[in-house]
Amino acid sequence: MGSVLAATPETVVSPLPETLSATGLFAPGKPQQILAGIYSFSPQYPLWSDGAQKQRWIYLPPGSAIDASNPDAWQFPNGTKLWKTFGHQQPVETRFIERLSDGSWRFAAYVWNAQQTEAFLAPANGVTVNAEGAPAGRYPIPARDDCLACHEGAPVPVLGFGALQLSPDRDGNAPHAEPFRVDQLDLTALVRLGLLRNLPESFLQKPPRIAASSAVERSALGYLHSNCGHCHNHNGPLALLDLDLSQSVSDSKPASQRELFLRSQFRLRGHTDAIKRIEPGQPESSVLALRMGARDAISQMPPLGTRVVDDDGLAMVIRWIQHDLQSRAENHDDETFTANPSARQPAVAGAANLSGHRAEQR
Amino acid sequence: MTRALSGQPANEQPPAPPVLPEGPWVTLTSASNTAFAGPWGVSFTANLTPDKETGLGKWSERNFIDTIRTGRRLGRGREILPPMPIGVYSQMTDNDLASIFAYLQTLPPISNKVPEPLPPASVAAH
Repeated sequence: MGSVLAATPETVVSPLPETLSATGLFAPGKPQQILAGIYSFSPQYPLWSDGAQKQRWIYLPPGSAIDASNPDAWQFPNGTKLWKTFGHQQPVETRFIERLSDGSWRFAAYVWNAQQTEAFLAPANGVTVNAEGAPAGRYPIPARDDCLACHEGAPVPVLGFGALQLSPDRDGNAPHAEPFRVDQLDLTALVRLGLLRNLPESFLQKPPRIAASSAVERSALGYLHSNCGHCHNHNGPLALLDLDLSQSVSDSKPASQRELFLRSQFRLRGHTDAIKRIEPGQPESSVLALRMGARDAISQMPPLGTRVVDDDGLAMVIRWIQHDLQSRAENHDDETFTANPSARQPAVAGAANLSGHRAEQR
Repeated sequence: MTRALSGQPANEQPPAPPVLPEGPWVTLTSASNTAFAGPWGVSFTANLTPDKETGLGKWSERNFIDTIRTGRRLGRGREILPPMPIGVYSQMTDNDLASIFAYLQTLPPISNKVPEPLPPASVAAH
């Protein structure tokens, strides 16, 4: 029997720590002092979270490094930890991702106490708490399954920490762009500190940047990448939808990819006819914009993690559809935009314009 | 039964459900057993046949298990609506769910684009 006991795998996972300090972010009682060896970062295209302010950190075990051999799917060493604090007038929750010794990932959320001295493990099924400054003063902490809904749809479950998001060539027009601080990690710093290995040299000489025909298009595609691309890509469980809104740094694709302009499976309320995912020049007839502007459980996109429309992000995408794509369609400089006079008319007779649609949703 | 499990017929748009008087009764079911109205709005049975464009023809076993397990379409989309007892079905084993999916894939594919569900009247009116 002794040998049986000795053969017990050592990968028994310890339970999630009950406090945030016990995850190793700060010493108990000193939440303002992030521990040494933990680095701050901010992606150039932030995820919209109903206006919450965010702080983000990463920890890599000593001597380890991220493997960037696949520039679109970095491999993080076992023992990697990431934290993201969400707050309005003050921090409300901190989300935690950890790669365990067996290579698996686990996710948790910690809720800050009123004294702001410590955060405590949230229930696995999530919980809604009061938070001044949050929409309606209420703030939903996600269930752990909800974490997986987004984080397991991408090639790597770490979102917002990759070659494009940490490029030194930051997009100043990105909706809700956060100013870069010199104490934060970007590609250059990661390589200099030895935290990132096997990144193709070309990415340092020419930092990743979304290929786009205008500044608006660049920002719109970046926004869709960070807010939609982790689910809507060609690699994950939603590949069957044939809609890829993610951006690759190694294989940049034109914004004219045909699938963006296919007819959507989604139907507007009360209508049975199909309209396109994007109708160049017609955001009010584009399912992508309509669902971004919706906040009912049936229509809204993203389907979770937000209860308030991102007016700035939506405005950027509308501008792109309305002007950039329209002018390209008119110039016939892209075969994606087939000359179809009827496409200049609303695809759905009587469809409310987008602002009307949004008012209806509220 | 030639259209079994193909969901609410696309060409039959039911009228708005009648408003029930105050009382304990809160849900309504269509005669076809494919449309249900209640406090959540109106939901329609899905096309479970393996039609590639309107049914589960492109779904993988994982897509199906993710949907039932999480109560969200494809494991990450909108929530599955009542009266589907998703809280019960989500407790099924992977083997059971895989078996159900395997059976559904043996059905004859039927092209039928089920309408999107409708929100509750209180939301739609605003």
